[in-house]
This record gives sequence, C-alpha cells and structure tokens, in this order.
Amino acid sequence: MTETFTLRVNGRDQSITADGDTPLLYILRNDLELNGAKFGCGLAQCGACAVLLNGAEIRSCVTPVASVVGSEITTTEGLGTVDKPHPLQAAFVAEQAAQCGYCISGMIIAAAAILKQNPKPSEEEIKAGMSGHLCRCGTHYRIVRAIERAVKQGVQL
Amino acid sequence: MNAPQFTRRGLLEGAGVLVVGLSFGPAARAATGQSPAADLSTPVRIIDFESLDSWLAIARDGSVTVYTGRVDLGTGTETVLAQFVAEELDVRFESVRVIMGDTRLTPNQGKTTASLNVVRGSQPLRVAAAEARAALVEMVAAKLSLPTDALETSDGVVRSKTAPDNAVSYGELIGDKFFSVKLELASKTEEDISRGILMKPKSKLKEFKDYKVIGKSIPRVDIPAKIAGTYEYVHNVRVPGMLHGRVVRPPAIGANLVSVSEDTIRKIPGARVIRRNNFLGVVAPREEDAIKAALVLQAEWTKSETLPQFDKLYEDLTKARVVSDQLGYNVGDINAGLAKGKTRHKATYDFPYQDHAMIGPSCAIADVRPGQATIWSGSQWPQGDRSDIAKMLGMPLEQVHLVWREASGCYGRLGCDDAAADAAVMSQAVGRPVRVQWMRDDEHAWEPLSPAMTMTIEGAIDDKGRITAFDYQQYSPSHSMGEKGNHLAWHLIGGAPGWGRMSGAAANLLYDVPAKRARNIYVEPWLRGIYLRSPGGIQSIFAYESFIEELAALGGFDPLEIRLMNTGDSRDQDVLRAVARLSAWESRKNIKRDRTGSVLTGRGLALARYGAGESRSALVVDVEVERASGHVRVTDVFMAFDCGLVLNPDGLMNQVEGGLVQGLSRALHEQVHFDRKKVTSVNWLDYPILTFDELPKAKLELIPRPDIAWGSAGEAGTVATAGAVANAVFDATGKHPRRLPLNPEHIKAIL
Ligand code: FES
Ligand code: FES
Repeated sequence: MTETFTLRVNGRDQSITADGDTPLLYILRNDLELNGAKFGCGLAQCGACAVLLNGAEIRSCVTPVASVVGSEITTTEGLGTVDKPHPLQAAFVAEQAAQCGYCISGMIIAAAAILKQNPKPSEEEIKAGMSGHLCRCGTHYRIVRAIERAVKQGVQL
Repeated sequence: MNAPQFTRRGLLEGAGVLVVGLSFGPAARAATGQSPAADLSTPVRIIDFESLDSWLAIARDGSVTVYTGRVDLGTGTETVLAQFVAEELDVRFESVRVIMGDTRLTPNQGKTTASLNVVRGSQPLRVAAAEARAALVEMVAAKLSLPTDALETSDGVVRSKTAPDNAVSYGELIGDKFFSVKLELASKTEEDISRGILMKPKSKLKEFKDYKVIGKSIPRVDIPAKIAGTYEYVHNVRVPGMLHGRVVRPPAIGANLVSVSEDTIRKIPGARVIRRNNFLGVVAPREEDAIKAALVLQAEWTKSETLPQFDKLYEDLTKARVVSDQLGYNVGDINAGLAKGKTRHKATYDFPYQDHAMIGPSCAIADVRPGQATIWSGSQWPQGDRSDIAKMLGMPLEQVHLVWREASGCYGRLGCDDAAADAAVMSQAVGRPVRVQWMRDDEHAWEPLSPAMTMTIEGAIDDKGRITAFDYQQYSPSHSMGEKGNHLAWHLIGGAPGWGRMSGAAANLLYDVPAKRARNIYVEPWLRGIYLRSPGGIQSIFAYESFIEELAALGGFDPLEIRLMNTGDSRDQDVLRAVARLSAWESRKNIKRDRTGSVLTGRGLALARYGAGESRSALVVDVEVERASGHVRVTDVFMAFDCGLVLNPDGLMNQVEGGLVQGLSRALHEQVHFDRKKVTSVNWLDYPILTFDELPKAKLELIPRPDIAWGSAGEAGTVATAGAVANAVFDATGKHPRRLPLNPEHIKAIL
C-alpha cells in the first residue's frame, strides 16, 4: 500500500511516497536520484547497494523503506564530493582504487563502517570485513591499500 | 639575427590565409551541413574517417575534444587515449576531453575487444593529433614564410625555435574552426571496420624516446566521480516519461510461449504486459512494480530440453556436430617428433563454461518513436549493436542512434547488448522510453557465456628436456556466436539471423618446437558464447602449461629449467628469470616433499604470451591443499610481466592486478552449472568469485620495454593464472588437476 514517509538521507529530510516494502535502494536511486548505491543482485550477496544506517552498513536492496524511517541514512554522496571528497574517498582516489567502479560505492560504505567500529584494523581484519563485497574487476588489492592508507592517516568517521 | 615576429595581428587578422577552417556560425553550418564539433547538443555531425574534423576539434580556449568510436570498459581507456592525443598534439593532458561511442558523434572504430583499445583504437587518434599539430605549424609557417622546422610546439602553443617568446596558441589559431584537413585510410575492409580502422600517417608520429605524456602515471579521469558516487553509468540514465521494464524469461532455452494470464498483474499500479511472439516483458512506471510484475506474471511455455547433461559436458563436446575444423600452427612432422622423444605423454584438460559475471547486471534505455530511436547502452560495440537493433526494429540505420554509457566491468561483450534490444522492443511496443535492468538471475543465466573447452595434447621431450613434438587439439563452441545477429529479444520475437564467426582459437605456442600442430575444432553451441578476457588464451595456456609441467615431472626436469631450455626468446627468458628471482625459485627437483600431512604445500610456474604485441607474463604460485576437503588456498603469487612500452605505469598495474585476481577466481571457483533446460547457477552463491579473504600476498614486477610497441595489458595478468595454480596443486599432491575449477569436488576426485 502506498504511503508517504520522511527519510533522513545525508543529513536532509526527504519526503517520499511509495509502498512500505519497497527496497530502500529504488527509493534512493529513482526518487532521490542518489546514484551512488547500485543494484547488483537484490539478494544481499554482493554489497553494491550498501549504505550506512546510523553508521552501520546495510544492504539497501533488501531493506524495506518503511523500516528505516527515523534512522540516519548515509550514501557515498553524503560522505563527500568530487571537489570535496571525504578523507576516506580521497584515500581511494590516491590509490586509484577503481576500475569500472561499479562496486566502489559499496566498498567505501563498507570501509566507513569498518573504520567506525575499529579505527585501526589490521590487514587481515580489513580483508575479513570486506569479504562480503564482490568486485569483478579485481580491484581488491587497491581497495585494501586505500583502506590501509586511510587508517594510516587516522581518518575519522 | 632577426627572429620573425609573431604578432597576433599578423597571424590572426590576415586576409584569410590562415583561416583554414570555417567559422562555426549558423551560416557556415547551413552551408556545410556540419555542426560545431564542440557542441554536443547538435543532432548531427558529419562523420568521415578521412576528415580530421571528425576526430578532433580545438576550441578557442585551447581545449581539445576528441571523438572516438572506442569505449572505456572500466580499464582506463579514456585516460590513455587522452594521453596519446596530448602527446602527439603537444597539448597539456588536462585540456583533452574524450567523447566515446556515440554513433551520432564518433567515427566507427569497431568493437572494443581483446584489450586492443590502446593498440588499435588509439592509432587513428594519434594520426589525427599529429596531423592537427602539423596543420597548426604549417599555418604559422605559411603566414610568416618560415620553414616549418623553424617552429616548435608545446603546451598548445606554436613558437619560434629561436625566439620562444614569439608564440601563438592553438586556440587563437584554429579555435572553433574546422581544420578541413584530409586524412587517409590505410584500408577499409569489412574486417578492418569491425576490428577498428587504421589511418595512414602523413606526418611523422613521435618516436617513443620523445614521449613526455605517454609513460606517465597520470591518474585516471573517471576515478574521482566513481568514488564520489556521481559517475554517469548507463544504469543512471533517466529519460522523461520513462517506464521501467523487465523481461520474463522462458523456463527453458528454446521454449515457446503458449499463453499469458495478464490478470495476475492487474493489481500492480500501471503494470502492462508486452508480448511479441515469444518475447514476454512487463513495464510499469515504478521500478519495484516492474520487478513485482515480472515475478508474479503467470505464463505457460512449451517444454524444451536442448542442453547436454552437465556431467557429460566434455564428452559431449567431442561428440557434438562440428561446425568448423581449423588448423592453427602447423610445423614439422609430428610422428617423427614423437619418435625422437624419450619421454612421451598425452593428457586431456577441461575448462568449464564461465560467466562474465558483471557486478552490475545489464541495463539499457531505449526511446523508440516513429522515425527515430535512441538507445543508451554499455555496449562494447556501439555500431554493431546499433545496426542489429535497427534491423530488429525494422528501421533504417540512420534513424537509430546508440549512445554508449559505461556499464559495470565485463571483460567481454555480453548482456549489455541484449538489454538494449529488450528495451528497444518494449519501447517500440509502448511508444515511450523504457529502461530495462536485468535482475541477477537474468545476468547469470542469460548472458552469453565464455564457452567450455576440452583440450588434448600429445607430446614428447628428449633426454635433455627439449620438446620434440607437440600435438594439440581443442573442442569448443565459437567464442563469438553472441557477437552479432543474436540478441535474445530478436530470437524471441523471431528473425534473428545468427552469427557464424569462429573465435577462441588456441594461443600460439611460445616454445621452440620442431614439430607442432594445433587443431581448433568448433562445435555447435548449446549456450550462446562470447569472449571473456583472453578467449582461447586462458584455456589453451592452462593446457600447455599443465602439459609441460607434467612432461617435466615425467622426464625429471625442473619446471623453470625446462621452460628456459625450450624458449629462445629473450623477453620470455627475462620474465622467467625475473619471476624466479622474485620468488626465490629453487629447483623443484631438490625439494623434499612430505605428502602425508593434512595440508600439502606446492609451488607452480606458468609462462604465457598473449595478444597484440605479445605481452608476456610468468607466474609463480604457492598453494596449500587441504587433503581431507580438497580445498585449495593460494597463499602467494609472484608475477613478472612485459607489455612492451608502458603507456601509464599505474594504469597498467591496475589492469594487471585485476587480471590476476580474475584469473585466480576463474581457476579456483568459476563454473556455470546447467540442467537440460537452462543455466542453473543464477546468483553469487551458485557462482562464487574470489573474495577479499582469499587474496594471496602478491609481488608483481613490470619489465619495461621502452623500445617495443605496447601490447595488451589486461590479459597479461590473467592468461597464465590457471596453469600456474594447477601446477602448484600438482606439485603439492603429485596429481595434476586437469579439470577446472580447482574446487574441492575436482581436487578430491584426483586425490
Ligand atoms: S545489490 Fe544489494 S547486496 Fe547486491
Ligand atoms: S571496480 Fe569493477 S566491479 Fe569493482
């Protein structure tokens, strides 16, 4: 049934009208035109759609929009921009940690969630923490290096 | 000495001598039919291979726009092409902008395949940039009655060699005007058009040693927006009035649609069924509604069972109807070579069907109206996709335009084109723009796959370890069947002509063998096939490198020793020696092995050459094999590679690292499952790929070759991987795993 919700996305309140069981991903992309989160599987298997919910990673492809009302949602766009990237994003740019980049928004969200929990993860902890995120281009080494760079720089989340 | 004076007045306001281009005013446009190159909103640009203006335009502010039919599949092509243009034109890298793959704006440069972008796709752009530079120098020389060699260029400026302060910028010289310079095509055969045309350089291209922009690790231009989440992927294209579409796939390949119960979606707001012969789809204003409608729509289909039995795949490949039986390399007398050998061996190796497995499923937007159609697609061959869609829709080619937008990294041509056809069929039916996004199971089950291959080798070595005979034969469906005339939607509505190009032949054998032969036997395809990074290469090199390792073991030779002995090529020898040093290689003959423990360790080597420019790579892989479970873990990888002259060192490293990870993934995990009806591995649990926690430690070393033309990059990391991992398992267990992937099921079977 169609309802109107107020979502808090990237620090702004947004009113949207949709069925309450609509996955958050489609609301972000189609209603709010926030294209950072991507559709990858719709099955919570790949991580392309990851966003932060009160600072923790969720898979927006399987998260009903009605369930996130009242929570703080952050997408990649909410972290920083091309001109003013978040230090974590800047670390990804510095390491040139992307090829097609389709997975990268999800990777940055996952990295942000890891660093929020543990600002000094080891290489093994980074790999374990990221292992639910898939990348076809094999950018893994660079992604790990980007997160390590952010750790070294003491990036805050 | 009096240096010539470069007064702006003299140069720019002269009586037409220097006005080699036409002004971009409306009158000029009407007169020539040509629209300003820099204005993207213009519907029509005259595109002529032999007109410099079709390739390149310089604006008054000095910014350069380059038009290329090539596209960037996420590998950094856009950046490298801009580097090439900046280099030959002598402008700053930052001033170059590249427009890719828009059939209204860019010359047809064929398909973007086999990492040939920078090898073949760059050539016309280099020529165009060099001719543009020459034209600018001539303009100044003619006006000042100077020889052209009294002038030099840099940073977008022509200046006098003797009085460098006398300078005029390109923007001032030609800004917003046409060059009207004619270029010359090297050849224009069908083959050249589809692979990418080449131009005849009139002006001299720069010598490698003079490169200043090429060879630098210039950061990729696309990466900042990708990391900020604002990059424009095809998935983000939205057109006013657009509906969301989903295709309802048949329950079996070849099934026919009998009936549809449209009632089943009646309650979904705005949802509509689109049916055309066997094509069944739904559209709805909201995406989640289109997804729901596709899920709940009930339809009846005929039964169909066309696929071989999964566990008899390789047997069936050798029994399938032969479409074409082609001889690859063929030198010397195989029987005489076999007779000369001391150690003789014969073995068969199997490589499964694999997915391209894009993280972002195929997506396209089509706006088909009477007399005009625009398609946004991540196609790897914009012109090929365009002409197929025009034929499928029954529209003249000129009325159909395809605008390329980057898709998810695919490493082979695939469902992107199918999604474009799906969207086109649905848009034509509803008279509104339609966006089709494939779901995960659409992608895994219906993308054209990398075909399975079974390969048999018979060969021998003499008492010194020299290969005396090498007789190779492969059975595989063609790796190009899905390339053209084969859109899923076109088959479903009827009339798809199909496509008979054969590809996926065995790689050249890099070893010096007096008697060698390769037979490439193409069999009928059960599943649509299309190339996936190093088609025919990764498969045949897995077989070659496994076979030579087995021969070495049988004859009592060290794997490094036998390879060094059998190749006289210094580049091959160099990568081998480099990887030996990197990995602290010790002769495997002297290694004491204990094969009684629960975890067995081993080390494997593989060597490969691949593709244009014959890039080389040598790989050493260390593994642990858990005896009880058959689980293989790659712990360390060492790779030395040589791709000729390096265009962008960091960009190359990015590609090679990526190729390595992909190669490991394909070696360890990847295999498409199917039953008699269709593909059954339809998500990431059924079709796992390598994850972060499996990443081995890696040491990569690039051997630069500043004097050898650049070769393929992406394949260099991939092509030897499967062979090296299989050889490491062989070293650990004493049994060679001849069937990929090296998953517990296949490893347990050999232990
Ligand atoms: S799209 Fe959500 S996890 Fe794959
Ligand atoms: S960069 Fe392409 S999927 Fe990760």
